[in-house]
Amino acid sequence: MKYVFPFFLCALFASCFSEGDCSISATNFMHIQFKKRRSLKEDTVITFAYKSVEIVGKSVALTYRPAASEILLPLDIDPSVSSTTFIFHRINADSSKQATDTIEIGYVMQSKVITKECGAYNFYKDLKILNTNLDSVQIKAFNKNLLKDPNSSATTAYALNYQIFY
Amino acid sequence: MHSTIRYFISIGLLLLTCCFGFSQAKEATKKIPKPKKDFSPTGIRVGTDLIDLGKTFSGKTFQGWEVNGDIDLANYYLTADIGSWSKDVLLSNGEYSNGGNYFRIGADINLLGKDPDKNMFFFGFRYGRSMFHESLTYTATSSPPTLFPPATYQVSNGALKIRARYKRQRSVFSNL
Repeated sequence: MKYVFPFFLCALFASCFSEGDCSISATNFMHIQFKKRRSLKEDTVITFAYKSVEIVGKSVALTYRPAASEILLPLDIDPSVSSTTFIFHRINADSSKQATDTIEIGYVMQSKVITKECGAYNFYKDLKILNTNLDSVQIKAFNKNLLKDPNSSATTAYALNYQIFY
Repeated sequence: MHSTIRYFISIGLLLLTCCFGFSQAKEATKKIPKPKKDFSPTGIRVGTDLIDLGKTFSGKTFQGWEVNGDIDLANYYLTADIGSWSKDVLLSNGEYSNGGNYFRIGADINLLGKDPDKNMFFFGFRYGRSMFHESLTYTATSSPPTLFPPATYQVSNGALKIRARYKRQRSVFSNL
């Protein structure tokens, strides 16, 4: 019985010195979901096929195949820029004719030190659409911050930022 | 008639005696004037934080010092502290550093001023101001890395000011 208190103290201090896990919710991926425009009441999710998504200023284009109902788009991590422009090259629903949509996303980057062991990360906040050729009714904004569930890498682990209605 | 005059004379003498007695009692209960408090200081205490100095000389990531001083005015103490801190933290993907200077001024009162064992129980307040700066440099990466090459961030906050006021109490027991 006399060893209970010293044991308790040892357990207490041992727990203080154990290092925590690095759960990082920071990401540079924006989550976009596609919905059917003519059935807003039904809130129908549609799959959408982009031939490619071009990021202005970057030589590499992203391809999304097969068709998906939601995609993740990376925002630029360059600290000298505060917006990223995406050009969507898509196949028109009625024919094989190619159409182009442009969206310029503006944001504010905030640097945060998580811990000494985990390091520092960028947090994107105050997302807003600066320019687009889409109608205002075609875009619905949700979360203005980029966040993800650190325990999952699925698309649904990322906070939904925009819904686009076609 | 004669007895009436004697009666009044007796009452007069009685009142006179009472008045004389009261005036003597008043004189007896007169308070002895308190000796005036001597507010002239008897000494100056100067101290430092040895833990800060130990950490400064034992490691490379921390530098700091603090000097404390106070002067006694009867059972009141005017105090002043001045110090400096700076710290460098090596992160897994960069470096964070901060540094600054600060001062505190205030007063303490020793509530056990007449304690024969010289025990002390202080209660007082401090007003402090500090100026500090911080900077962060780190490298951010993205996936896929071919799309966005790693970017180096340099963020700094310069000449930040903080003002604080707080109360404090501490005890000094001579027999411990």
